Amino acid sequence: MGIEIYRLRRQYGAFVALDDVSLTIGDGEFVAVLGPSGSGKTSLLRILAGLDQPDAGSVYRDGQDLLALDARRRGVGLVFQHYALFPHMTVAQNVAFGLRVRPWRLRPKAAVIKAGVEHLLRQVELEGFADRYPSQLSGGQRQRVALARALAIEPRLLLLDEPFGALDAQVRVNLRRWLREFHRSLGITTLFVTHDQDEALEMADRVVVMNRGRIEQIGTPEQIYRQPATPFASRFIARGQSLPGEVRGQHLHVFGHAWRMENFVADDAHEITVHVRPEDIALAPVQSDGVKAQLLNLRHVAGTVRASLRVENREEPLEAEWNERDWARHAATAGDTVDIHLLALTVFATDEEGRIQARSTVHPPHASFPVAVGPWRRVEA
Amino acid sequence: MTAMARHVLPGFRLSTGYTMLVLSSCVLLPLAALLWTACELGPAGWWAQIGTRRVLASLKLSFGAALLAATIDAVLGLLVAWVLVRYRFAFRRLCDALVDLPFALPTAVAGISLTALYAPNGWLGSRLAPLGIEVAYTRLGVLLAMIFVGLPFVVRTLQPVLESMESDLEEAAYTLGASPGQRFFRVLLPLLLPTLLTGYALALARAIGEYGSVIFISGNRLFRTEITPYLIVQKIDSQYDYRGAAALGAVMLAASLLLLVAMAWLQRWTRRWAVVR
Repeated sequence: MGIEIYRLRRQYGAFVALDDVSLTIGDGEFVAVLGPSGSGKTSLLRILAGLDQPDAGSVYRDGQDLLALDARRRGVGLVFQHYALFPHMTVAQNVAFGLRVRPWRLRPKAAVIKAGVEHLLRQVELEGFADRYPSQLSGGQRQRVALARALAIEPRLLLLDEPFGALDAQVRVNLRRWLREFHRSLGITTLFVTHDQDEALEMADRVVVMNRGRIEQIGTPEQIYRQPATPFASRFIARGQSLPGEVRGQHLHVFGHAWRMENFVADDAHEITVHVRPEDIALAPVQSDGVKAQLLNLRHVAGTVRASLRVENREEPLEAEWNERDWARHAATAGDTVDIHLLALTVFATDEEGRIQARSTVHPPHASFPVAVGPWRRVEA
Repeated sequence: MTAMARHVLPGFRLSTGYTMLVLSSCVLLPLAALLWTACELGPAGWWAQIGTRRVLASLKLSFGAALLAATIDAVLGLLVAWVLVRYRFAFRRLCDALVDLPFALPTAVAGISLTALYAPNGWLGSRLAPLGIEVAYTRLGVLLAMIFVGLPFVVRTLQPVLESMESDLEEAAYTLGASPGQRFFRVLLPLLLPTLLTGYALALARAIGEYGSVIFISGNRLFRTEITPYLIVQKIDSQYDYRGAAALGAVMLAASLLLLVAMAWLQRWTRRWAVVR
């Protein structure tokens, strides 16, 4: 059963933080809510934790109305971005807090609490740190204490609010893997809020993409990458860049080329958006049927080459990404004009209010391109 | 000194020298003079000044009332600071400004207004009298004046700390199952305690040294409502007894110093968790 979130709405004055948000989280699932700041993801988390109440909507856990329960009794473990450890308590006291504040009838015996704390500290790999104060720990250690403290109350739902936001890059990557493994071993239903795409895609079973209080798409990382539901999801997850293009009849026209599209009906569409991902811009062999582009600059980033391309009809340079091996086959340097092939284009047709009417992915055929591209394996959205 | 010679900030010697000069001329020198004058009496003469019933009663009142007043200030001040920081209500800014009034008001004015208010024929005093509560010209009046002058110290020291306190900690405690009382006594109060002690020490120092507002409302009744600073002034005013006054001053100085050192030590103890090893 898990958690059923149904049509949540939360408004602060004129600002709509959550607009008709519905989501079902399976038992033991690890779900990431991904969105830019102000997208409503933290509001959702606070409502689930009981720190805020929605204006409308409901949340059920295994058929039980979660919103009717006070935050104290929800059995929800919350881990804050800035740890929120109690600075005047030792690590052990912090972890034991949730058990010690229980009414005496429900409070475990001191020896039981002590054993539980030791067990948790072993789990988060902080055995020797029980008597330290938070000020004596590193950021990564503090975050693990915060996690142990949240787990001490044996929550049925674990909420993580940008848990790695305040950590440096190396610690973040390590902790990410560790947390993923840790979740597998515990199996607690976990909702995880982040604005970092890598984090969400790497860790979560399913990703919820949010923007301006609405859910844009829910799906596995692969589904969202392959078949972004909205221009926002495409831009935010797959780094989609819009191209000047239009649909006439059954054909998509981009950069003077026309490609036939199947099953795309958008005769009364308000707006057509065409997106291309950086990795779907391929360098074509010279003198081919490609699009002319000028290489503005090149950055070599650990195995990939990132380039900015000046293309006609587009103000901003187009970002492309190749791996070093492919790049090495071409003798181009910055400033050269090269031919590019667009390997995959995603086309969205939207109405006046930004609702999606039709969506299609086009794989333009290239006669001179040596490597066959597509048809792609179909992923059910 | 070699470590000091390599300070990144310029002007270390000049600024330190200046600090020492100001500190010595404004604080240490007068205190030394006070002790010097008191020492001229010799132990027997000193005890003759201090050991009288009148002086001992005044010391007891001065320090006893000041300790009690600072304690009450700590509780009331915490409440006032809490309300001013945590809630938004009409006239909040006005209330906030009013807190400073005991700072700004000449103490004599405060004394006179308190006396007028609480005197047996005053607006409040006349209503309290039937209940058997006398404020003016009693020890209760002394306490009241001391509470009045000390309150802003507690409020003003607590306010910035309360404002900068993240709501994260309370929310964390809340989701962990803590009741409102547990959130306050287990999380907030221990974190506020060092600051509260600072405010307490300031209010205490002010109450011990308070003169103007107390002497009006106390009525200065022999053995009952005389505070030590009043006796010091009396000695100089009526008997030109500078040595006697200095002896009393020295006792107040020593006791105040002792109290402040104790407060500082207590404060460090409440902040032991903040050490970074």
